[in-house]
Amino acid sequence: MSADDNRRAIGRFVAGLPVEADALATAITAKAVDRTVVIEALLKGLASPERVVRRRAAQRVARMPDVAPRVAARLALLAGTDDDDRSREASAAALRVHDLPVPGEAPTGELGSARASLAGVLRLKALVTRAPDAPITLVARYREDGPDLLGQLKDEESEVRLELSGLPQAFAGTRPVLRTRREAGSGPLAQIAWAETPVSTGGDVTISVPLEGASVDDLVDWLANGVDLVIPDV
Amino acid sequence: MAVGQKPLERDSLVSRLVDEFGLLRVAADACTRAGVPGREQQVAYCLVVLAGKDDPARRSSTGVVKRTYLLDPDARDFADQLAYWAGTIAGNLRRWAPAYEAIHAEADRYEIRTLRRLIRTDRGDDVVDRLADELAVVLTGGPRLGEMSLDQAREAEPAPGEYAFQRPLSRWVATAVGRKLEWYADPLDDRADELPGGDVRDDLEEVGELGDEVARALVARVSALGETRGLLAAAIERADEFEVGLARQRPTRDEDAAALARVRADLVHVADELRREQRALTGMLAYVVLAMRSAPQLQRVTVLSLRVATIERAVIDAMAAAMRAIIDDELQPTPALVEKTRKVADRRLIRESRATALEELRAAPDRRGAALAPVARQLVDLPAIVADISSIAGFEQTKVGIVTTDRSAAAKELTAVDTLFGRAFRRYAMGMT
Repeated sequence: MSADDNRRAIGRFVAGLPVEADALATAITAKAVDRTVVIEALLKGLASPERVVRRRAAQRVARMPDVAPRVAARLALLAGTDDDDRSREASAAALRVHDLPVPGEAPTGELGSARASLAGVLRLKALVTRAPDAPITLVARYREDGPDLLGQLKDEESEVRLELSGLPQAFAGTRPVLRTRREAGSGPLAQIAWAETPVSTGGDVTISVPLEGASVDDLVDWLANGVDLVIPDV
Repeated sequence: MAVGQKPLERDSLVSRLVDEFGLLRVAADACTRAGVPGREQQVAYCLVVLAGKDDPARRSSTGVVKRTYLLDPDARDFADQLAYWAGTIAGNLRRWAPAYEAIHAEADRYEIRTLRRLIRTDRGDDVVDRLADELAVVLTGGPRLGEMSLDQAREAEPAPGEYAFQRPLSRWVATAVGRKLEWYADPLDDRADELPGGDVRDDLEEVGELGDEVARALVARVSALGETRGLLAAAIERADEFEVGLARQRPTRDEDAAALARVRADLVHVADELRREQRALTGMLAYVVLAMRSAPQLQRVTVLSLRVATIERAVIDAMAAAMRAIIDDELQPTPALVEKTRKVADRRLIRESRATALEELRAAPDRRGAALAPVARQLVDLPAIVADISSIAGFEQTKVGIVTTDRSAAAKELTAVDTLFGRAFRRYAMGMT
């Protein structure tokens, strides 16, 4: 049976239509074999003696739609005991994304409440290219917060605009505030602009940024120092 | 020179390559020549990774002792070496980037369709292990393409033996897996490797047909086992000829039983998930019909996405009939649907209007007919089947990009309410399995 045959059999099954027994069994077995391979690959990565490999495997799990019990168990072990700080944190982050307990952390209570309390703040990361037409690009600091998020700075004669797309659904209909850090370091972020029109249902918004005497290069530096988007009144 | 572990060393290397050797210009030129414009950040990332690798002299399979990369910024011919590898990387990106990205994207969905076509084994009994080894090296051997940039090169430590498109993906994977105990180290690259050119589909077919056939044969044998049918009984009980199929079982082979033992847990998981998705389908359709009525364009695009010609006609008709039945069913929306929608709306993950649209129907059943009349009319007026996204855009008199955005928004919204809703929508509307 081909991949299309498998897809057809499962499509009929989910829709409640009659399916030939051999076809359905084969289709389900094919999905199970694929799943086993992926899980075994993740476990191999999480068991690697190389910290970068363990970290990447954990980051991969954070992107998956669900996590298998064996993988979750391995992540919990790494989150609690890995020698490498970043591997421990990547493992802990993967567990949090899947609303699983992290060793040593207090339970969050309601499912997802730890992340929900931060739902109004979206941390971004600046990729500085210094290219004339797109000097800086913004992406989500943690990919799972906004896998499709992209922000680009446009410097045109009369104004500087930040064009954002792929914002999470929570931002739809809101007028988020843009915050940056003018000095490098760990100081607080300060508001520099806000959206005058609401974020579309598709997650798009354009924010005009008043420079008030600063240059575009200054703005690029501020964004590189630290940037986030905040839903006001959350 | 080995530069990997310390951020300052990596940052210093990147700055030197950019400032002294025009790294981005070299990368851009190579991309243009290779026919992959716009990939200079990725080529630049890969060049930094290669320049930072440990590159001692080693003995090749032909007995010649040599270094592989020769990317020493202090060497006189560094600029030439940089240009050479930029061209090689760009060429391999052109040929192998789609497969590389597909492997990553499919793994996120627990699929391995592209990876199966890279495998070279003819041993059915260890194909699961072999596939897992190959997938592990790809998933952890490098970031996704979208994450490859000079900023990433500065910030993130590369994996030992990281894949940087320095050779064809299929050869790199096969060599890395073949040296399983030492797969963290680079295979010794031969500069006589294929130069850019050729078609990636031909490459995949050349190296991978055998592996895909072996994997499919294993699936067919395992699925035919009586024990497999026993595990799946609850899932396939409505299928015809189940008993007849069992009667035709051949004696179990040891290696098939061993393979079943490997996949047993995931077999039960997959069957259970599909059952749950089957039970959730009506709820998903009820949400689309009753909650999304507050956003008519989004609702139309969502309904039409469930009528795309790639879906089997019988399934389209079954879902259309279910939607019409939901309009007339005074038990819809169910209290469970109303409650879960309200909870998600309160968390500001969906619009408030979705929850109120459902609550109004429960609170005032006498006004149901009037409230749902526009939706009922719409379900009749919409085409019974559409060819593709372009057809939806044509019907809506809008751009394909708007339809794509709406479909993505619908998928995200449905997932926010119930992950099974989102999964069912993606299965039919987007062909995701």
